[in-house]
Amino acid sequence: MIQNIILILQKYGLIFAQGLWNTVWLSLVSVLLGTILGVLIALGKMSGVKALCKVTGIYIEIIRGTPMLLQLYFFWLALPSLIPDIPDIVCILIALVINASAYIAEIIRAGIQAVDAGQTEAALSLGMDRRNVMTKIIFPQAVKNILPAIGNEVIVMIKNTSLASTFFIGELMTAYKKVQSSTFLALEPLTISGILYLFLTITLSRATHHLEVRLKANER
Amino acid sequence: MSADNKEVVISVKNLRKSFGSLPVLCGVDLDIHQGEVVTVLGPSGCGKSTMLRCMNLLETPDSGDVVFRGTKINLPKADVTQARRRIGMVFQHFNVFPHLTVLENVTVAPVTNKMMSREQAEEKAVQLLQRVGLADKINEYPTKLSGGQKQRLAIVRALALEPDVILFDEPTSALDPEMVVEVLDVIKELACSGMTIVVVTHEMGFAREVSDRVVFMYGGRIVEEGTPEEVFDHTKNERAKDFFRKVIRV
Repeated sequence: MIQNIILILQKYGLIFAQGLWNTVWLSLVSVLLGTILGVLIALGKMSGVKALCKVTGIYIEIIRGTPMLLQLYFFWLALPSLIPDIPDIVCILIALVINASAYIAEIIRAGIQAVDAGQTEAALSLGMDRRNVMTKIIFPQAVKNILPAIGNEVIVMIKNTSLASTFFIGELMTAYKKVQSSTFLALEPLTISGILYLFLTITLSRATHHLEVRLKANER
Repeated sequence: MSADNKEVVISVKNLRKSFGSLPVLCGVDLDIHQGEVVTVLGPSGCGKSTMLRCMNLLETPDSGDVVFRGTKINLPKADVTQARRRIGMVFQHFNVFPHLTVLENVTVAPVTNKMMSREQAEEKAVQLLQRVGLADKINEYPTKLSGGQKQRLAIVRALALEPDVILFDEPTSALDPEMVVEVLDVIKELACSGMTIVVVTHEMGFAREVSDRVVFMYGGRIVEEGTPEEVFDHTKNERAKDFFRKVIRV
């Protein structure tokens, strides 16, 4: 088996390298854009405006309550009927961003609500307006809860992008499928993809942990 | 120090507040005069903290008036933020900002409120921190401070806005016993300097020593008020007598 793996890497190394790269950028871009959208959704949900709370609440419920694979299918089928020549990869990316945004919105909301209510009261008692209370007092403290959780979301997303291989968009699981169909070997390319996933997730979880420790350095 | 003829800084009128079906304030009237030190006593759950928190509208009363310098501030269109800048508050659990240094804790409000320039605010903060013995902690983060130091910092933070009155909500209840004195000393010094103060406390000795007026609450009402001597030594109110018997050990 090890011999086969070496042979495969020699011949199809480029396909795995492309797969690795596609997995990385798909995850990073979807979490990045998902964070921007997630902030807006979290703000909507915490705005106190009833209609906005309701709409964002339903959005989060739908996204978190349905399988990711179903969402990928849905956007892959639905978007081309709106925009006829939309590339598959864009449909998939939009689905990933929307999926990430719902989870990240909840991460942000939880991070903000985890800051002691006494902090808001103290800031209000000092005559700070709502916006300054949020930007100067609450958010800087909430970031320490939010950033490590978003790091974890990247890890989750790296694994979730494998579902997009259903649509052959060239990430690590697609690499496995390609190599498998050309070589008729299954276990070996699967092992290679698995090791590459592990390399990504372990590196990222180390980095996230490191970040967490540094952010909490000033606190006990 | 009779306060009757002095200007009223803040007052509550027929204040009522319920949490769900539980009535906490059942019609409270209280005037706080310029330069007066008023202590609010009473058993836990009697509504004293809620009344104090209504004074700067951290709690919204169900009905009744909160009047600051002659203006009713519990109206939808009233500028509560402006009023709060002149009503300081010190909390039981300090609520200092852990992500800011000692100096920044004091300057953040005057600077972001655009009430002072950064230089002015820092100069003022250093002065005040010296006054309460925290001058050597200026660049530390609050995690490095003891409870007593955190509470002194919280007092300075409130003072930095040069408020007309400071509300103290059980300022020593969360402190280790050996740190209570250092905080009470700061409040005493403030009282002597003429600051208008309302303090909810369980420190009877302190209340007797510094108060111009003592207010005793029970069941959401003020049931007794007067000078410390009148209230502590000559009260006719059974609730108050009973309370003092339990808390003052002779």
